[in-house]
Amino acid sequence: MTTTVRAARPRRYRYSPAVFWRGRLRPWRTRRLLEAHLLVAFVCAVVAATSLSLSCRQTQRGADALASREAPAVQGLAASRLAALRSYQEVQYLVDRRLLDVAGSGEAYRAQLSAADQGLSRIADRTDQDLGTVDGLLATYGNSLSLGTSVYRDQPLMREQKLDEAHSLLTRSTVGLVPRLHALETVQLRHAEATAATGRGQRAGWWLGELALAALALTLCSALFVLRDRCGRDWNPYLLGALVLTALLAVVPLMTASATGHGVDAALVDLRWITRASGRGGLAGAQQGVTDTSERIRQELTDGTWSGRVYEGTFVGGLLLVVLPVLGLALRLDGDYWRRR
Amino acid sequence: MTRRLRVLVLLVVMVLIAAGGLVVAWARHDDEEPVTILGTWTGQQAEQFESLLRGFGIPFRYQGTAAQREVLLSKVQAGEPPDVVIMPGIGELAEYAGQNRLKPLNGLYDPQEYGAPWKPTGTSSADVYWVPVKADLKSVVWYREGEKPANSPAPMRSWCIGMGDDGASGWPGTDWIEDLVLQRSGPDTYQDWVLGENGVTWGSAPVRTAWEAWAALLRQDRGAARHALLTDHRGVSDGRGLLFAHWGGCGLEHQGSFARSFYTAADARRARLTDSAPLLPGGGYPVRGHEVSGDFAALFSARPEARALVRRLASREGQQRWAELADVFSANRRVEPQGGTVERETAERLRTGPRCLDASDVMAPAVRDAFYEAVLLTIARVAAGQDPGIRGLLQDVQRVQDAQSAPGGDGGGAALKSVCSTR
Repeated sequence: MTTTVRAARPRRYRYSPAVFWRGRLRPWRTRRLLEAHLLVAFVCAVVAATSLSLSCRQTQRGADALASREAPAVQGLAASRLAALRSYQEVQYLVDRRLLDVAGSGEAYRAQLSAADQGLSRIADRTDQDLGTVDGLLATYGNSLSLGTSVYRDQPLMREQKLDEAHSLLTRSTVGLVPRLHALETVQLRHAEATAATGRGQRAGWWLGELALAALALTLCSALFVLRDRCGRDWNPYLLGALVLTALLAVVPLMTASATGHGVDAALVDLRWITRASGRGGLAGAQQGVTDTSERIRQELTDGTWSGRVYEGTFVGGLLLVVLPVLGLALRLDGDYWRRR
Repeated sequence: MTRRLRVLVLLVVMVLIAAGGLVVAWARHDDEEPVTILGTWTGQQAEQFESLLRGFGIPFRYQGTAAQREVLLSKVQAGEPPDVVIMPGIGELAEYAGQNRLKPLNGLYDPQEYGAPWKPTGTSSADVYWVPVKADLKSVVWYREGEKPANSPAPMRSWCIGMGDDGASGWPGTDWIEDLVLQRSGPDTYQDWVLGENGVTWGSAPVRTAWEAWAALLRQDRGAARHALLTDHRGVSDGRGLLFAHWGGCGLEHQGSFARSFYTAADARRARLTDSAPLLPGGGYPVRGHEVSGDFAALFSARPEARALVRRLASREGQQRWAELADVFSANRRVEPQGGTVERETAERLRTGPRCLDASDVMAPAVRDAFYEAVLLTIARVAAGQDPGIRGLLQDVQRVQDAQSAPGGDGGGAALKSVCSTR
């Protein structure tokens, strides 16, 4: 009869993770099992803590370098370039309106020239590039402007010759002051992009950290299961704490790095715009645009001061992550097994 | 100690040794500081020069700028001079030598390979402080192939003239004055004027009449004079140079052998040269000599790598290699000239006959700049229909020269004992 035949066969177990895992761990003795969990948790915690700390540090240093060196250097070079162009424009304004012979009329061009010079001085320690050539060109350019506006102001032909010379010094293709400043800006922008880029090593570090945290989480769950299943111990507070910390460290530093990355990307877009600002549509407008964009970049890069605290927390959390599982399992092992040897 | 532990210890020791080796290698690499070189060549000339230097196998960093005086002065005063500087101005180098900033080049090259007027032992001391690494010929006129000029003074409209340059406007005009003094009065008088000897001053007849002859040429066409004042000697950027742009139909260019670098490659092949003497204003002069110029290398540091680089650059092999790489000429007697007819004619003139160094290159920078400005003022006044006031201009330049030579001055004036090959 069917019912009797059915009753004679063994009953199939319903599938469950606990049953599955219990079956996998059955060949192991409890003590060895706990010691294995201790070792694996320790290794995973060390790897995760180290990778995360290094990756966070790298991300932070890149953002800091961009904020303190690379971005200001690009901004400074662009500002000097536009100021030099503006100084010539101001002189032309004086010539067109016959104001050269008016005492003190050259204040505007002198101010722009001085701004260009000051700009180069300010960024000298923020760039590895040699600014000697552009410094010298700026001095020669200023000298030609000065001769044209002061010494020869009453001699139209000589004045025109000196101003033409100044214009050549300023704009001559590849060797003029403006093309050279633009070339320096381009190189500096490439430095900024390289500084901000997440390299393969950095990506690998994040991946390694996250995978190690995932392995640690599984190990901690397994350890809790073993303690409850074999030792009849209820939830171990150290292991539970480590599990919560693992979840936090898996999420918060990565989100912070992502936010920092967005800020850096936005800053790079703005830096590229600054490098392209030529003043063709009006130098005053271009200078204002560079100023406004520079302030925005500063905001984008310094809004991440809270990220510094997150990175510090990651480091401390990493230390705790190593200590808690070791404590939790070592105390249990010591109480149940080691002391009784 | 168990076997596993021993293997582990061995692995750790090997890793430590490898890490130590890496650190040492990095430290050594950091010690190889490049030789810094400051020059005036930019663009294609700079690329050719750097290509030559790469062949020497000595790490270097070359910086080319039109504002060389300002850059060099700033670096020297900041205590960070370049290792090597290459410039045409012997007068400026003489100032630095007088301040004991230059290192002697004794033993770095064979003086027999460099004859007069390049031979630097014309200095007043036993040490030599500069060596010519590039030579250029002046006292020549360029014309387009098939349009050879007649052997007589050419009118103003024939000349393609530009005075403009980056921070050194006026030097093409000084070349005119110098050439006129040389062809009208000869190398001896030329040298006396440049060195301020034997009573030949700026106001003396040889200089004044040469200047007046040039002013007379400019006066023939005020429009052309105005154009010359406001035009760059290289022509427009990325253009064909003055000769092949032939503004106003001009067909002659009084310019050095480097003029072809201003033309396109195709135009350069059509450029021809002839001696300037018969064509100069007021003349029909015989060729009494050629003005020459050079770029001179000097050492600001005693680093072995810098000395090695200068040695390689001044050697026959280095100079020969550069002549082959680029369209340049060498002052080294043992270098074989390269190229076609024009190159051979240029090289021949660089080696034979009386040759005199460019006067403004030998002068102290302050006198040189006053010379440039006096030339520019001459053109400007003539173009404006005014009296150029040549005597007054020359008196002003003389005053600047006298101030340089006076106690407390920069001790200017030429540092050489001779500037012409005739002495």
